[in-house]
Amino acid sequence: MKIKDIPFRQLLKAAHSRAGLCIDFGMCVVRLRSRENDFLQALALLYQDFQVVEGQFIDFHIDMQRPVNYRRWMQAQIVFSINGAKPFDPFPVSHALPLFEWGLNWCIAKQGHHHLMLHAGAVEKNGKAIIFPALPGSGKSTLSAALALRGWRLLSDEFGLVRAEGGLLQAMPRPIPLKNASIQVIQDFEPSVVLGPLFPKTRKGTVAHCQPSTDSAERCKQLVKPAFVVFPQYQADSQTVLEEVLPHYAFLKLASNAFNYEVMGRTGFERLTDIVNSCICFNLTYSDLDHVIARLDGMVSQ
Amino acid sequence: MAWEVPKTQALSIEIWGEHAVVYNDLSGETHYINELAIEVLTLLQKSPETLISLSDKICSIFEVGDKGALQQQLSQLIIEFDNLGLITAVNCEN
Amino acid sequence: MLLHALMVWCLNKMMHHYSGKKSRQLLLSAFTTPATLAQLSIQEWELLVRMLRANKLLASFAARIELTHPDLKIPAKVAENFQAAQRLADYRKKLVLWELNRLNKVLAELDIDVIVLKGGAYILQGLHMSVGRLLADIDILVPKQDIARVEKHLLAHGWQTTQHDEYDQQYYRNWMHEIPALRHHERFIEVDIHHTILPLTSRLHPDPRRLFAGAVAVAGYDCKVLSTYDMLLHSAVHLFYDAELNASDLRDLLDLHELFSLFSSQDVQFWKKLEKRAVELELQRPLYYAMYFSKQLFNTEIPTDVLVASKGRPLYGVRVFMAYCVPLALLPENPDYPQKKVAFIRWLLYLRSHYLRMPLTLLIPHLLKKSKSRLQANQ
Repeated sequence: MKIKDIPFRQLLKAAHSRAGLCIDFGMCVVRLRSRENDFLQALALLYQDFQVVEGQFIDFHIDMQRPVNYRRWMQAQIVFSINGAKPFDPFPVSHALPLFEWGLNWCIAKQGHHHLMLHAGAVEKNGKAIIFPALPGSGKSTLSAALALRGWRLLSDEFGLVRAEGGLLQAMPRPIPLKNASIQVIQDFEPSVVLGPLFPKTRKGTVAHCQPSTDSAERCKQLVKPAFVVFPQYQADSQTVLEEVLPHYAFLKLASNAFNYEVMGRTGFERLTDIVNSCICFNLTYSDLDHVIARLDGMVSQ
Repeated sequence: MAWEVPKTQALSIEIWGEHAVVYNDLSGETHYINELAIEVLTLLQKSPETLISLSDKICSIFEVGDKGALQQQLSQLIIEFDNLGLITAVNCEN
Repeated sequence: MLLHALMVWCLNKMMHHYSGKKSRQLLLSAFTTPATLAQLSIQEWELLVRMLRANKLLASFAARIELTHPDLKIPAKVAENFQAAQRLADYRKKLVLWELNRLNKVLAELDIDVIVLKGGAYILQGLHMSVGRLLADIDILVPKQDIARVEKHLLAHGWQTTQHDEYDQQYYRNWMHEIPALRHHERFIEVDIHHTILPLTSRLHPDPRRLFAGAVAVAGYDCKVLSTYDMLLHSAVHLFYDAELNASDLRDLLDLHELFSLFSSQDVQFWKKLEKRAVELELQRPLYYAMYFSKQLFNTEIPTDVLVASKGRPLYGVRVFMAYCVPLALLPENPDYPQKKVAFIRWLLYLRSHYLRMPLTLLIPHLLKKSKSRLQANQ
């Protein structure tokens, strides 16, 4: 059953219980236990099209609870724990959602070695996927969000998950964290966009999460073949320029930017050469979202 | 002294024109190599070579005139390959 | 609907009963009678994976099953978790082998005896238990008179010290059986260089010269490894006289079980020779514990008369205390139901390990110094 089809009070009851609230994210099932109702409300909005499941194998057992120490009387805090361990320092309780998102990404990066994990956004249309490998600041989150709002299926804004066996892309659609000016950019771009609460003063400035589309959430288990690799770079007032790059350049950029290229050993090498040899690889400079989306639409409609 | 890529060493090389990447299973590292390095590594995969025999073969492939400068470059390359664990030294008599 | 709710309730109730004894039993049967895995529910598999992961045993367990029960039907999600853990372990193993390769190359220039200990040795000897075993660092043993040369030589070839605190540096050099760990500036694996296998302050003093005399060669390397008996005794003394005996040490007991099983099958005189060697090195007590707990937890085939006749058998009271505490401390808990009792027992064994490592006159100033610097760091 989808999160949005379950009365909120019932969701809270599940999250408060020992058995927890179990959500299927496609590549993993998470058991979440928390008593922070504001956090759960934001979560229920952003993940409204995801399935709540019972009796399935759970990959990550996550608790978001207040720590038991004297600090709780001074400033309300929240601790992320995974399988009983607490790998991070506490956060202010108001920032529970960014902590959960960040913590879950950390868990996947640490345990997901049945995939080559590229640090990349990824979207799909007409059965053709584009991988957007990029460093922070390149605008890949904004670009992924804009594409998702124009009918592209969001695979991920952070993880380009390439299956070790077969090399297909595994989706991991999640709310896209928009930072600072990007929030307004996306609201202007598509006024009907559904955003979660604003989180001021995070490590990356002000953050708001963009809800993944119903289609992206419903097809989160559907694999897809990568067709293009595009290295985006936002540059104010620039024209949209797509420039094909050589395979070795794309290879080295992808490898140095991956979460676990070294861990994957020879398999990592093979999956990456497959991608570079079967995809067309571009450098993209852009400033206008409508313009760049028109170009990318053209690429996947051929 | 001669050098070779040991037979037990499984190198994966992917060549794109004059550029290539090589995965070394011994160290788990991937290296970018240029045209000269591709030729040297391919030759050392086939059979052991001394610095002299190697520079003779490279000379005829690339039609280099200045053999002294090439040898200098090759001996640098061999030290680097040895440090990366791509090749090992073997006795000439073997 | 009602029926469904009842089923979920029962399931939760059932998993609740997986606290304590039953979760420990689930883990042990997975090792001792893997055929029973075929009957596990998906919830039991999930708990097993969680406990194995928490103990850093997921990859080595997966490798064991692959080797001994290749036809066992494993749920797809479990297989995925196994595969991911094995990839990481394979990568760590590759890094360790590569570091050993580089160490071997540089240390060969010195012409001294170098013995690779523990995990590194299991890999060099190709023991199947090294597959999937998560390694953090490499331990080597060199003669005490050569340790300064080894350190200097490695520092000259790109290795760097990992301890920059003056107190820690002095502490290591004065009281420990090793120098502060070194790491090559281009690589990740730390190298611990020991000159004996226990801290100088420890209550046991096996003579390192005897270990060097018995060491055996490894094909393709200049480094050596300990003889089978010494390898076992070292593993035993490390677990019962140097480790804190918590859940992450269960792996070491599993190593002992594997070593006992492998070596005893190769030689009918094995147990006799092992006891004799333990007497020579004065390590009868750790050997007794290793045999006792390996048999108790993993059903290792150790003749009862060997245990009863062991010269290392402690007094009745100590035996009862250890037999109660050690399994509780070593075995993982259901992460959803941690027990206060287990935390207390681990604390007791933690105190025991420190007491065994150094006399109280040294231990107390050391612990005070450490907690003081921790307080300062927090401010």
